[in-house]
Amino acid sequence: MRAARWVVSRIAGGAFVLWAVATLIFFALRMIPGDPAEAILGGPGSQASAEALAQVRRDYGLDQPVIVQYLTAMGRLVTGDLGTSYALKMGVADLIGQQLWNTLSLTVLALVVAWGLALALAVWASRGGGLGTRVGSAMEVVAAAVPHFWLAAILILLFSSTLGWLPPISTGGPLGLILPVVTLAVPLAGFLGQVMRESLIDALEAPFALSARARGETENGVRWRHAIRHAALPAISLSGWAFGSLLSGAVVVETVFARPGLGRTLLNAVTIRDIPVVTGVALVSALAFILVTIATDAIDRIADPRLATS
Amino acid sequence: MNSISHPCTRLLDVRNLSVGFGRRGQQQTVVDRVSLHIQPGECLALVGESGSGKSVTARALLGLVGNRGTVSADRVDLDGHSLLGLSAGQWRHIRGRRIGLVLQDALVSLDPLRRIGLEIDDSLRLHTALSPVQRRERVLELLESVGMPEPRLRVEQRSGELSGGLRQRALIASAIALRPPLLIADEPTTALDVTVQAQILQLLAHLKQQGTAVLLISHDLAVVNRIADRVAVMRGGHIVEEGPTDAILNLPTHHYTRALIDAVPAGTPRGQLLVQERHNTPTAVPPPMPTKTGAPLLEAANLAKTFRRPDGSRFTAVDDVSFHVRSGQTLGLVGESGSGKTTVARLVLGLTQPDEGTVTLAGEAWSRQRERERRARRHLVGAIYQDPLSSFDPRHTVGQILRDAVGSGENGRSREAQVARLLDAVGLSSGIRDRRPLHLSGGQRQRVAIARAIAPSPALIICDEPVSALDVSVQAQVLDLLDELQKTLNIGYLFISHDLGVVQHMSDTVAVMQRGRIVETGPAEDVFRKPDHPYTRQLVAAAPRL
Amino acid sequence: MSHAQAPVPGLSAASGRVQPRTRNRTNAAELGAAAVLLFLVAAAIFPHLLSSFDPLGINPAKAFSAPSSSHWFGTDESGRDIYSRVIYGTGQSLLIGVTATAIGMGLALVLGVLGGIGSRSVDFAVTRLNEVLFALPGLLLALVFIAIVGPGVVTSTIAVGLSTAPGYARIIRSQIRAVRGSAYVEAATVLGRRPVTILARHVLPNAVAPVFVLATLGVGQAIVWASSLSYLGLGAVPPAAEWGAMLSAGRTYIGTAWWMTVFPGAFIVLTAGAATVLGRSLQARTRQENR
Repeated sequence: MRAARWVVSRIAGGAFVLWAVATLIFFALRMIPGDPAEAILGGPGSQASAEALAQVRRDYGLDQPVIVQYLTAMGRLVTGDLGTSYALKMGVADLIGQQLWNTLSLTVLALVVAWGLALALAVWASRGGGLGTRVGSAMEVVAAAVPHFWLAAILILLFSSTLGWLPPISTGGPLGLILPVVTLAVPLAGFLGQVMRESLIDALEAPFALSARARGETENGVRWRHAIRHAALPAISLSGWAFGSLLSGAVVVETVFARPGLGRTLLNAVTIRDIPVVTGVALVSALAFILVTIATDAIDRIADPRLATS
Repeated sequence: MNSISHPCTRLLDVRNLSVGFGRRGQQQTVVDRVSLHIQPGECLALVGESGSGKSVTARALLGLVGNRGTVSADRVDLDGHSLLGLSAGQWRHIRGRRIGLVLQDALVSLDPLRRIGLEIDDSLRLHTALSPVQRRERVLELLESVGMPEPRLRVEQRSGELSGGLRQRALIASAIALRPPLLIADEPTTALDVTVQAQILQLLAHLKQQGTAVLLISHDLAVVNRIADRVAVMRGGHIVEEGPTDAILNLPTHHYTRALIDAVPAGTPRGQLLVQERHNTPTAVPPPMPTKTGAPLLEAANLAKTFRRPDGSRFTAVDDVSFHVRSGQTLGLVGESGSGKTTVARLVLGLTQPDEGTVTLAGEAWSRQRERERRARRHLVGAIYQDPLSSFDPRHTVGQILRDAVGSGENGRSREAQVARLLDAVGLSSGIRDRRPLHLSGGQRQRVAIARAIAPSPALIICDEPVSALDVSVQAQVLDLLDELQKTLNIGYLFISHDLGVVQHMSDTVAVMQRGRIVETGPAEDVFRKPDHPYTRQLVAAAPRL
Repeated sequence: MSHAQAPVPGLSAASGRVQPRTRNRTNAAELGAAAVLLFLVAAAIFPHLLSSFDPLGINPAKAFSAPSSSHWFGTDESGRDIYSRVIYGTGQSLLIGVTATAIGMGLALVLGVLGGIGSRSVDFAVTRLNEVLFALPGLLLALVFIAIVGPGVVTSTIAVGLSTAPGYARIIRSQIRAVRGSAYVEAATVLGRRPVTILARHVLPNAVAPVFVLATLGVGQAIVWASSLSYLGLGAVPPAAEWGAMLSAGRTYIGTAWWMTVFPGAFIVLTAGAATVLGRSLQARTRQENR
């Protein structure tokens, strides 16, 4: 009962956020000087005729009062209609549908790899080795200081240009996915690893770990039966945020590796100011982010019953 | 020592055990040539204050002092087999099977993310070849044997879902799952309510009767008195005195043991100092404002307060509570955790508004007022908390804290003089002024808190568990200080504590709280000597005494 | 109701853990970071003292020279000396980082303090607004902002500031709330202090001081993000001697002239890394002092 109420309230909260994002973008656009009709016809340089502009205004409903335009846009949104791309003259929803899988597979894979890497780092450091701790600390600085594009460039130089092992461009094959995934996963693993390492070490020094040892439990038993769950909890909580940062990183990574996907679509749309596409990708990203956050919070509540009751 | 027991009957025999921490060369010795022995069915108590090395001794016996510690001994024999130089695998064979460990507070000593059944099952899984079904049966038996009600239900719960007493029982069940001949109990009842503590002690005594040897680690002489056959008093890593419990508690030979016993407030009459030598005489601070003649200083009438639980239901924290405090007198408010004591403190401090009832201060309304109206009379009421450190702004030094408390009414120089007087009054040197509370000892922090509380010359101080976190000797000094200040400054105290001994020693009048209600009230001597209410009787009976 | 707290580099509960063995090593890292920052500030103020070529001087004959003793970092497609361009670009890149952080922190302070000390309804509104901004994580918010306003150095700087604001705002708000609920604020109330006095003397100093340490870390992050936008062609534009813009130009020639990418990028990593190391040790220190 309580769980159901929690889910409903989270979904309602998510719907509110989506609505607010759409509204914010809509009105922000109306406050910026410039004629949307001109943008649709290729920007101020296109020198479109007055008739063409008027035609476009009628087609896109731009001659209507703002409030009517807003309500129309929101009404369409509810039915899943994200409008039409200015540049590509195709439905934004279809466009996103084509690209969604590419980006999701990239980000989810990167999240999984980052988790594995972070866990390995944390366990290594918790085994008392100074080296593991040092590598972990270095990874944290890497996570904070190395831009995706530079890491990607270094990886391409190393594994494509010099060693020739992996393609510099991420086309269909699984081999092409390796470098983009690594680029996204390594900095994230630095963040997650820091959190996991600290909570793992705390858990290994906690009274319940002493109780377990006094029962005759092995160090590995203490680590895997007890401490690892405590280390995973904060990292699970962070995974929603981590997924968001991966969506953001995908913009850069997809561009560097010339990989089709939402991020690259967004960048192209931003460059030519194809507003419906920008809005659409932003909304879909926000939706994905919200869903993942709800999912991770739900996992958190299952893994840690203390959360559900407090 | 002059023990009469023969080596052959000794279950545990330790000679000159030393434990040091830190790197070679700059090693710090925490346990220094400790010798002790226990027979089957005997309870030896290792008593000492924090930092005495008693817990490290216990961990050394389990081979669990950690990588940074080095252990040496002439002999550590368990049942005739040496525990010296065991490999990790051999130690695991000992732990749980030959020696069990019970720690303080099972909320954190049992894995909060795992069901307690699984925690107990672990011991069986590690040391026996029983099938999962057999183990489950055994877990249920164990829970039953430690007095856990509804074991089938409890086995599925986690430590956070159980009450303090029940989860401590679960922890004990996990420690005795393999019937180890030696059980080490490290502060097993600390943080438990007195009635629950009595039950857990009874459980340990029962195990002892069945032949288990118990090494009890405790700071509390009264607890030790309940169950221990022999006592070893530890200080600074040494055992300073050891012998039968009666002899040690009644005829201590070492001065430290005597000081420890004297410091226990229970049984020491009201007004008598606990520490013999006085460190200083507090100098007089301006006397508090006289109250309107006749009216008590503080009067609480029919206070009630309910709170909303996270799930929306309401629970009554304070229910129809009335009492009064007179100038220069102490009302002791005693009760177990969750009885509503702290809510009463907050109501009296004007930090929470009562749902019903009123608080009157010096004859004038205090509750049900706007904070703005109350502020002018805030100086009449001070507060001292259980955890003084968190009540100080971490950015401020002792000097800043006290200057702030003295208030802006004074000019710079007289403020400084006032701070110096306050420090003197609570027995702190003026050199402490530039230090932060973080770098002070627990006793010093509480003295600073007291100095802050008396700075505005209050007529009343609310003391909420002011000595619960302190070692007994420091507790005695702080209680003495509060006593002296009351005499010189004629302050009224509302003294809140779970510790019957402390309340008895400090109070003129006592009110006993249970589930939000005051069930009994009266002169301290009467209430403790001839308790009326069944709950009070239960409390008094449960309270361990020297 | 709240999402997981986004980590700000180095901000975690246990960074202040005292480990005697790591103490000296940290000091070595701190020293290195301080040296790097000193060098960067020198480069920003006196670029001509540290380099020998004109950052914009074209020399087509020497285009795409690999690193050598005369051109340490090689030359770009127009034969400009990359080392000199990196040195001359330091000032602008640092300025972008600091400005973006200032914008983000300023916005976050307004939101965070409003949410922290405001009434329940104000807090509710601020928290929801923050949640909305948070729904476009990282660069996504910056990209949407640029799509609306248009690209350029100024907009990309503002965009980066805007994207970092929700994270900081959340930290500031929760810090203020925590301090307001602390025992020492209660103790001040018992002493009869006015809410305004308590706010000024206890709440704001304790809640906001750590935020300035965060800002040190934030500068590193802002430089990384701003350079990413430039790299994507939305910030500073070539031939400007700004690190991100240089990288953007180098993107085209990654296969042939790797030095165009590696060296300017290395300076970004160095700067952000130094800021991170220093910010974290500052944090550990204040935490140790305060508890």
